[in-house]
Amino acid sequence: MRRFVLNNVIKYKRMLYMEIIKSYKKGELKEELPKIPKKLIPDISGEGRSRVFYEREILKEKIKFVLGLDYKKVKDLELYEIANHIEEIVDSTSPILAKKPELGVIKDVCNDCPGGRYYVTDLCRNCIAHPCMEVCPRNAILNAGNRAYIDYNKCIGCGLCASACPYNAIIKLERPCEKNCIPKAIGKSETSPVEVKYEKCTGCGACYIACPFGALEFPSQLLQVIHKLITGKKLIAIFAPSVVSQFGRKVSVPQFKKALKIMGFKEVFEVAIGADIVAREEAKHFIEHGGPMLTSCCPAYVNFVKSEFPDLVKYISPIESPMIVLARKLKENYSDHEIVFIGPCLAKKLEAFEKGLPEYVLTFEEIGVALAALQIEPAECEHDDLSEATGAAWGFAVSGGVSAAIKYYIKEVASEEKAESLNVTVANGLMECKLALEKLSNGKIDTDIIEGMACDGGCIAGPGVLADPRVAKSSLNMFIKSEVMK
Amino acid sequence: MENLKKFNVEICVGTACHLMGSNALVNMVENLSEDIKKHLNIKCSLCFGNCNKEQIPPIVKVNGITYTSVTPEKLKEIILSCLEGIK
Ligand code: FES
Repeated sequence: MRRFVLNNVIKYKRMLYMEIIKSYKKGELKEELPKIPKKLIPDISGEGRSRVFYEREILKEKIKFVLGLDYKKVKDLELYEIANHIEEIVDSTSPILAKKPELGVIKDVCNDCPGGRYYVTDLCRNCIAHPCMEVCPRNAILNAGNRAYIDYNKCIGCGLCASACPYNAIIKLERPCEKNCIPKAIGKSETSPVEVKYEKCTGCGACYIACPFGALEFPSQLLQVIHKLITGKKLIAIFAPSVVSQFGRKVSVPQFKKALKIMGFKEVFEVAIGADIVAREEAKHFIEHGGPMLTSCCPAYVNFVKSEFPDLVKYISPIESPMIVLARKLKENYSDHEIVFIGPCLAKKLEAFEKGLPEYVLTFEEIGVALAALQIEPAECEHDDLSEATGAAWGFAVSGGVSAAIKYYIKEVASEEKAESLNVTVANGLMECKLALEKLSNGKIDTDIIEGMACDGGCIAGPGVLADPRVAKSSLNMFIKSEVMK
Repeated sequence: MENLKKFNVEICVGTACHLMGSNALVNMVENLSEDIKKHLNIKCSLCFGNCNKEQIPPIVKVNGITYTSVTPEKLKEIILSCLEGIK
């Protein structure tokens, strides 16, 4: 499961969001905007001064994403220029707003990390046996200055030297973004230190999590949502099952629900309602059409199948994801309301864009900073009522949960035996998805359902979470036992 | 039972502090050795209100003194130096 480490890239991003929302609320955003980088990263004297300017520069570019702008259009604009358009930006009418919520690259922030090459490190002891030289098929290793060196004109990157070295002194340096991008959608190009191949990008957010410089960002819709809430527009919030424990140990799901209403959402619903519908429909679909069936709830997995395994697209379940199913259902009764999905996921932003609803997608992180900036403490809120949804539906948040829910409903729509004989493959993380899909494509796997989750651990390990995935998983299990099954 | 000298460690777990890493502080304190923990009154509090006074979360109060922008390492240091003081 993904190891969650709260680093400075994440902290600065959160402070930035809070600062922007606070000044918006005070009505001072126009004046304050250009001053924010300096405010968050104050002057220091002496050593490290140049770093201050660099970090402010990073924040300046990040602000453009917080405001939801189309980075291609605004990358050369200064903050004071953007500040002039702030009214149209917050009320969603500005032409410089991003239309499609896709991954953006801040080239000036990208460190142009070296990658893909083998390096001899200081651990080299210049030993007499030098197995590195012996195994190298291209004689690419030289001995100079009392240690081994690699001649990159000859090196073919086979890695034999690294595995032969008794000191592990030779390592392969990989770019964090590239290493974590399973569809290989990101990398260096002839003209740029980093570029995204959008036809391959699944929107999973793995590179966004991985980059230690924070050079990858998604445009946010948070400020626009807050503006609508504050100006009393009709918005409905729907939130993903992975919500459990996201806002800290003192906040229960019913309290979080209440907090959203205090923020100004007219109605609030659990996406678990949609998950129940989806699992039941998928169970029916499976009984009628048989397998193999690929689950459709994880948008990054669906995108991955579409771009990497086009011949398997026909197996993707035709049932839409819980978010879409619930949003469509709500539109029947609340046609004059706009819907805001709140979850752990960035790929949902793309999914919503493609389907045309819900109108807004925010992450737990985004809604968390909004609550903090608006000074709404969910832990101090009353308990709202939870809607009816099964424990199986809440389980969608964890890898293995979707197939378990389908199984649960197969029992209901068909029989116990049918459910028990079900042959399920759980692919946890895009790497496992890739392996399972390869096997399916080569006919090397006999399976009824391949449940795919792009994030390692499932939605609780998504790029927009606040809680450690391990904590979230155990809290979710407890929640299902104590609240849902009671 | 011997009369132990204790001091208060109040960690804010309000939303702003939660976002900035109060959870790691709570985990760190809970995993301290029993020898240290027996001297602590650990409390997880809701928003102190400090985060709106331009103070950087996460915020911790140790013996009534407010510390801002606390990391697990920093908190450990604070606790250890308080321990020195009461020994
Ligand atoms: S949330 Fe910790 S002081 Fe406000």
